[in-house]
Amino acid sequence: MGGAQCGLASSAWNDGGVSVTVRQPVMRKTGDRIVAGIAAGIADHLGVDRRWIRVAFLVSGLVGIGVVIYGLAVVLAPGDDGSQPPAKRLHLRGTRDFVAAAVVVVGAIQFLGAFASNWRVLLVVSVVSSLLVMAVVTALPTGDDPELHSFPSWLPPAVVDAVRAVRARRSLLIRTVVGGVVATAGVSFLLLGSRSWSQLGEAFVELTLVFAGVTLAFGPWISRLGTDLMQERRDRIRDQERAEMAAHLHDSVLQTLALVQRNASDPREVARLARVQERELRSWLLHGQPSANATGDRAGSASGTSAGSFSAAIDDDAGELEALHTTAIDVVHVRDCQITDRLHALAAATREAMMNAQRHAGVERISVYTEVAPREVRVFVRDRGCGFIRDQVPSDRGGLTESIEGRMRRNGGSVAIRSVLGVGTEVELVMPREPAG
Amino acid sequence: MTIRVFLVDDHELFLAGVRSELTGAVEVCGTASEVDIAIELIAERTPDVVLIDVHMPNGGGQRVIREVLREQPEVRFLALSVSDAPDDVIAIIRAGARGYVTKTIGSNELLDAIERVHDGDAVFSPRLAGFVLDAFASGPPANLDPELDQLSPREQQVMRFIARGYTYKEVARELVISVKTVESHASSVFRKLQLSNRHELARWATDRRII
Repeated sequence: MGGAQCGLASSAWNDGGVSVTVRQPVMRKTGDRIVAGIAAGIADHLGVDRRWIRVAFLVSGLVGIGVVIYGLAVVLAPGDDGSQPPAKRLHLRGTRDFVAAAVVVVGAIQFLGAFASNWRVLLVVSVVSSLLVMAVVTALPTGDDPELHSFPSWLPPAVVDAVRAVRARRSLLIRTVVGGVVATAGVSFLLLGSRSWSQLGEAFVELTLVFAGVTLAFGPWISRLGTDLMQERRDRIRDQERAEMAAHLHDSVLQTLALVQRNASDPREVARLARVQERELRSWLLHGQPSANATGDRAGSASGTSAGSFSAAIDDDAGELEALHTTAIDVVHVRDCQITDRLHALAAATREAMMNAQRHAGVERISVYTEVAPREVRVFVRDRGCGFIRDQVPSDRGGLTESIEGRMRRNGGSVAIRSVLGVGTEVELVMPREPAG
Repeated sequence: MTIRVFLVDDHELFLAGVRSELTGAVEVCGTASEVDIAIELIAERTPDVVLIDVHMPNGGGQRVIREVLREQPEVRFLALSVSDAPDDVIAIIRAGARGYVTKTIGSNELLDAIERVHDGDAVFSPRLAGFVLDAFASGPPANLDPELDQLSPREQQVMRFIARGYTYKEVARELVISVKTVESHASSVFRKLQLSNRHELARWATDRRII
């Protein structure tokens, strides 16, 4: 394969004068190809004569690694004729794809062979190969273009993730490769140059001396640089937090204060606004998240709170209902858990109970208590209102029978209602939790 | 004899509001809006109960409580705060406050709480009770003192009622016990809250350097 590459290399000459004002990513030059046009693509990318790249591929191909690189490039680089990279259309369409796949395997075997036989070869191979890998990786197209980031469905997800990670973190890869090569080279030189243990020992002492000297000379400077950088970063984060805080105060608190001033003649409205704002600010301060429905007239700016927590769902409902009626709702949570279908039903029933209390009890304040136990979730909704007698509730009122009792029963929960005329009402809702998993 | 109350809060507006709310029912013998002044004036006027804000510059309510209790252990503190973050609660109670209520509390409830603290009892708001249930929850980890680090079933029951919004009197009626018994349960929970080694409490305490 390497031979074929070399023999036809001169045909790359015809359009050699490439303008490199804009660096194009490595593409398969389908118009000027010997195997798949990779050498031409790399040459165009680097702005060098295609022949040099071809010779480099030939030489490195002889020891194996060039073949690996070439194969990888064929798989990953898109064609300049608009065709997809084989990695994308790899349903192994033509013979060329088979060849590309095969050279990767053959090259890998050859490379491993070189590894086993000779340190010197290994050194050369590792330096050359790392340079090539770097070249290919830096030259591959990046960006968020999904076209370039989609992978054939048959690739195992682990491989896809690995390729994505490599693409996303080129600098890390390059650093790792270069570092690895330098370390390998160092060890190789050490082993090649020393014929005996004493020589090895000497070399080791020399190395240690050099390292110690460098550390002494530059250590403090480097460490100071590190601390400075960290300090700067911390300052920047603090500034950012301050800005965020200011923005939040402006968006919510000042808005509410403006509304309070405008509604100053309506004490109920003022109390309502203050309560809504309090709830919102509290949730922001404690959990770093705005609760739904900030000032009532800003619906839509509400972002989903920690999606999936049961207590967050209850808090959202309570906040919303508080904004609609003038009755305050005090909510106390003991422990929390992920919300599930059953707990959604429980939250809906709780909401209904809160609404009933707001509407019928005739009180200023109702108490809601939720407790997540290992096997069940309990909710108490309590008011010190007028109370009611169950049998006297008209049968066409569906709130209690349907929205609370029916909903709880269908989901395997239970309801207990204690109400005394003139003393108050407490609704207790119990929902068993799903078995784990 | 009316209870003599002292108010400490760095919000003048709030001080004025509470003062006018309480006047008549108790004797407000002084106010202060700074930590150092508060410490001085409390020593001078020897109030029965001090209503104290948690967050203030120069050490906050904690410092006032500490310094005053060193000289006058008979002064009772009731923390009154807009915050209900668990670490604020635990910090102020470990410093020696006998109760913790939020500033949204109604006048009558506040008077009730002042009387209760004056009588030497602990004051639990629903939120504080919820916090206690949370902190003392879950199975006991190793090397805990069960006397101190766990709530008895009865204490849990009482806390749960309070968290549900019941007053001490209502709890007593529900459990068919006397109000005195409810109070003694509450006081014992309070003692545990101040002294417990439970890791959640201990962690908050060390984070805030209050032990």
